[in-house]
Amino acid sequence: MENNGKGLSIAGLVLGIVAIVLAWFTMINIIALIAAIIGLVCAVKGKQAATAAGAPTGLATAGLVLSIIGLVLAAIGFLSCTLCIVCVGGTAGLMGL
Amino acid sequence: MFPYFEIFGKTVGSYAMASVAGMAVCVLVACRMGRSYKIAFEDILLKMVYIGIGLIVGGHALYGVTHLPRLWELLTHLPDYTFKDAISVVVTCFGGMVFYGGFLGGMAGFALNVRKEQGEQKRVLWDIFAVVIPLFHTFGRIGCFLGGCCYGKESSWGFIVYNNTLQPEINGVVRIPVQLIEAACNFCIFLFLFILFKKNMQRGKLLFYYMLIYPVARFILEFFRGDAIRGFLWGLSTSQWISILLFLVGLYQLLWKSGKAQDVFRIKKTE
Repeated sequence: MENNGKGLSIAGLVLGIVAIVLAWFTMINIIALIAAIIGLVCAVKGKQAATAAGAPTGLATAGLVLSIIGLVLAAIGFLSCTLCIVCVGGTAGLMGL
Repeated sequence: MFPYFEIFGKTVGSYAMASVAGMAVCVLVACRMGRSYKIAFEDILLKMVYIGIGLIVGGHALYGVTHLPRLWELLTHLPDYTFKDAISVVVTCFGGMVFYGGFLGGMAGFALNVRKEQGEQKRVLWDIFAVVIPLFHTFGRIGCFLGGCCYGKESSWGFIVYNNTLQPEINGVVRIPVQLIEAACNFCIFLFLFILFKKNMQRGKLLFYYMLIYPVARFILEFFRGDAIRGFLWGLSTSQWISILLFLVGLYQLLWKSGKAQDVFRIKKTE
């Protein structure tokens, strides 16, 4: 079977879309972050395979772009939570809790 | 200072925005640096993902280590806690991030990614890693300043924190802007390493130079920090102990591995 990276590219595209959607929900940012990372890896590998096979790379590029957008949105949400926890932890520490 | 702001009705942390901006700038700088060595954008992106995963895992893990007494208290008195309280303690203990944990984790992730690379290419990649770390940290510290964490001691000069809704007890006090000082130090380290990289000097050793310079700055700046949530051991903070360790590793790698220390010992022996 010819490996032109189509499966990986589709996986990257789908995971990128999932990451963008989930990134808007505060408590499940971590899932969006994981989806974006896996999507990014799939899209990159898919693009490399497509380039090597001489196949079109449009699908992989779309997956790559969507995964990057998902990653940025998920990282912003995830790191916002991190700061919040640091500050709450700090306050609790100062209060001796 | 300005821990949060609203975009399209969604509350966004300024620390998060600064960190993500830092990541984006790092990817662009790394791509620019790698272009001369024919390293593709996708490769750089993949490496950054590995660094990012290591950074998040390492940063949170070391933050947990600085909260060992609370975790130990949880473990030894587990029956006294409700499930919700226990989860709350675990989230509080592992929720934050420590830079050195992120650095070590990022380094581990990067090492995992470049393990199959060989020769000059591997040295170039490690040098790119060494250059972008202080650049990212510059943005991170600006984010800390905006977010109101990692603040400095009370002082007669500096900035007044006046709008920190997350930690209201730190408001209204003039504090040393230690985050901005550290950001400036990091930017200077970045420039220094970037110039060395561009001039093709000290190839493959830039990480050890970073490990020599940054820990010294961090060790000194830790004395001017006012936040109480860092772990302490024998009068020094966790970060100061790690600084000492990293400095020694950097010194060993630069002197011993390059043969300079061996030369000195050899000369002494022959004398």
